[in-house]
Amino acid sequence: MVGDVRIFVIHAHPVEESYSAAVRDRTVQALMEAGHEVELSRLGDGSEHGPDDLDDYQMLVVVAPIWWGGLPAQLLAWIQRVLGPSIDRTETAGQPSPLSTIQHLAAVVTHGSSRLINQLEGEPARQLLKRSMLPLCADEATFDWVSLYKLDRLSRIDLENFIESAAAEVVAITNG
Amino acid sequence: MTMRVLVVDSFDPDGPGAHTADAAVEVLAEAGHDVRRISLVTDEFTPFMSTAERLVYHDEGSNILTDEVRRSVEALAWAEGLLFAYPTVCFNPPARLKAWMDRVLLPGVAFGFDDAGRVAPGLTHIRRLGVVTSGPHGRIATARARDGGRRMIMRALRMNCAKTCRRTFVSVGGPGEHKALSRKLSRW
Repeated sequence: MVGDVRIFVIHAHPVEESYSAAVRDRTVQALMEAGHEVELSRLGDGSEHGPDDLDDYQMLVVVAPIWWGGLPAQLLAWIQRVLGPSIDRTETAGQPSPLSTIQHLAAVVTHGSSRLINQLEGEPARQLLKRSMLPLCADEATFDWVSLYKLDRLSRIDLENFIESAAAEVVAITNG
Repeated sequence: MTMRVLVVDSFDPDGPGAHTADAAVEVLAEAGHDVRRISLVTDEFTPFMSTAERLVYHDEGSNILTDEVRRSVEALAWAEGLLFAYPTVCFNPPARLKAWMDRVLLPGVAFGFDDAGRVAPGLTHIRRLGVVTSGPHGRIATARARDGGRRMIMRALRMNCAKTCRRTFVSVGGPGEHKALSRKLSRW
């Protein structure tokens, strides 16, 4: 698939001047430059609630900081509200999942702690996407987890490099 | 030995499973512990971190902006045991409980940073950490989904507690299945 993938980007960080927002902006820009249609939802400080369905999209990109190993509360709230009935199999008999058109599920996430610490914690956010959300996507949908560690201990150059490499990695997913 | 126990309850008091938190509090009180309970649903605890809160997040000592967070921080400082009671949703704690973790477990409260910028434990007075939960899935499905609540609390949060802190995890299947809960919590 080159160009023209309909992509939904959902972001959750309460501060618009945050590094996470900069990662989001560069990723969205790179996807648009590659010819894709991008829709963005900023869950930010909880005033936005996110989409109710993603029927019109082929790719979902989650951009978020990882706090306590998990997703920020407002993003977890969106997943539990929109996907809860499918994941917990309540009231969904015969209904397609809200992610049934999604062929690529990707996350771009930042961690304050090291990769080792996150492995010891068991990466609960990654497991939620991979084990509970990916099975709701289209058959043979892809899953990518693009992650940065030790956010507060990296140099400015490392941080800038990640913004570029993460955006390039997400664009590469759309090229199959 | 009895201790001071904070129960962070995120069951909806009108929803299924609310009796699970009541049962946990009852068992702990009967064992002679001094129990304090915070009910996030009843208190309508704000379920996300605000922009203002994030902006001062790293300012230890001045990063508590609301009374609801201050009450939880004080209760946490008072406690020796910490028990989370919640319904498991999407193999995770309810978002409101995650918001409590995001907003209350602050730098200077739950952790600090050492000279190398690594996280240093801040809850070293917590010597018992527990979860009491109920959910729509069985044990195998929950294990396969890699239970997020269990990992966030029993592993990530545990790293910030006392070195010898002991853990208790109880999953309650349905009403009447409170035997495991009594058995495990009565050892606190």
